[in-house]
Amino acid sequence: MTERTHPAVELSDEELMARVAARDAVAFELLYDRYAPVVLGVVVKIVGDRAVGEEVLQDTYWRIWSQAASYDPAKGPLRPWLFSIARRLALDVLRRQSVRPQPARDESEARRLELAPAPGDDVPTAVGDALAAAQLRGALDQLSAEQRRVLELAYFGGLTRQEIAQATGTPLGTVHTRARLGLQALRAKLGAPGNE
Amino acid sequence: MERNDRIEEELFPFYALDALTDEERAEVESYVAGNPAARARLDEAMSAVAEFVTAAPLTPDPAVKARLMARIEDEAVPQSPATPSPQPSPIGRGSATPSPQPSPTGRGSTRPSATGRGSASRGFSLRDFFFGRALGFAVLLLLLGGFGLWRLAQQSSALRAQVTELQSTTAALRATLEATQGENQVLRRELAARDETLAQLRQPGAITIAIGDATGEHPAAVGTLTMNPTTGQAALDVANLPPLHEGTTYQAWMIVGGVPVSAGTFAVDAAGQGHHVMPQATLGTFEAIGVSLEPSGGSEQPTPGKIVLLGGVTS
Repeated sequence: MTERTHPAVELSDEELMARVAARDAVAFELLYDRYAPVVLGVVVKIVGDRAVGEEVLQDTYWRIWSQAASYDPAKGPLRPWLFSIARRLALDVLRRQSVRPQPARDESEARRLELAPAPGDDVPTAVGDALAAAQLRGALDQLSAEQRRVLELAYFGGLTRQEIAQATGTPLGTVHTRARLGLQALRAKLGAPGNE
Repeated sequence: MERNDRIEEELFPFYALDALTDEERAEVESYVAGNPAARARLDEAMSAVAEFVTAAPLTPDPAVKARLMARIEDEAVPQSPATPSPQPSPIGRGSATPSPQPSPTGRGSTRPSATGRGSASRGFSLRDFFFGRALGFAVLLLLLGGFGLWRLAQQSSALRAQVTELQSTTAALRATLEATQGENQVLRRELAARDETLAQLRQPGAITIAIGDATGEHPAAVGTLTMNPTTGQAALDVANLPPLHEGTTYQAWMIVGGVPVSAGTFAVDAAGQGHHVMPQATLGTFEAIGVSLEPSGGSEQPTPGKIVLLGGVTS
């Protein structure tokens, strides 16, 4: 069987974004399809509520549409920029609610969230989401619990490295080491053959 | 440029995690600004974080997308009434400048008509009067006749166009009929092949595994994988799947060691039924089987959020 991808899917993130900046709604829709599930996963993990997460998702993409011209590919890839917008909006919501983040500790709870279907979706997708995530889960398993906790507190909790050191009662140098080694482990695993 | 270990080892990870103060961020950005190698290492860290956060994707409610697209459409209306086509062109959003009207080229003088009738007086006889009337009548007849002929020619042309159109419609219908007959033959052959496969799979020792919709979105969607452990041949039968839209296909996946491996694409009929032969589905070589919705031709990996059916081979 010949495997090939749909032509539109072959556009790189940066090509899509250039089109979005040129007010191309079709490109925007494609960008939404490409990253909305991941963005929603990020914000729900931060705000802990699916309905609120979907509001943040909508705000995130509206901001992408409104401020597309501010994205500069020379300053880095699109995905971190996009996730950064979503994350900051989610943390803003969290701060307004005066609720501290609750990174998922219970694996079964995390799995339940992954599998929760979206209401009204025309194709059941939650199992597919979980399957796509399973690939990465292998990489995450390479992290120690301490490394993972540092990464989660920083990204999903919105804590600075000093705050993480304080919250975990760990020296700042150890926090640095855990973050650095954690990212190194991820890069090593994700860069390995068969994981592309 | 010299490598700054403090920035790279202490700040890079937290820059990528978006957890630095503004001052620290500025320090990192200043450091990588003139240092492409450091920029590349920072990008790697950012990509690793991006991967880290993609571990748990969730399918958004389709209403979110619908609201966004409606908002974009609303925005477009008042802002750019003169904006032309929504063609996905990366080229600037320049306003549609109306093309200047070409200046009238006829700068030439409109010459005054030089038909100056002389004021010469002439004699006007009765014969001249009748001759003039007859001539006028003849001209009128000629004009009416010409108009009639022109109308007839037009009607004739329209009729000829209709005949041509009917002929092409007939040809198209004939081609459709032939194509349908061809499809019929293909379907008959496929049916025969399917019967043959099923007969083989129904041999003693064949194993049947049910797969289904774990999400509850389409509880009627089901699939059955029938495997012949002796030959390694398997057939996947699905029913009640959502109908395919143009440019899409269903794709079967075997999950081998947690990694999806394509097992071919297939279509379903209007009732969502389909049949797909998987020649290399040896029992024990994969732990799960799935079906996803993909662009025509299939994908290298299942599209996140588009898996329809999933079932484990081992409990």
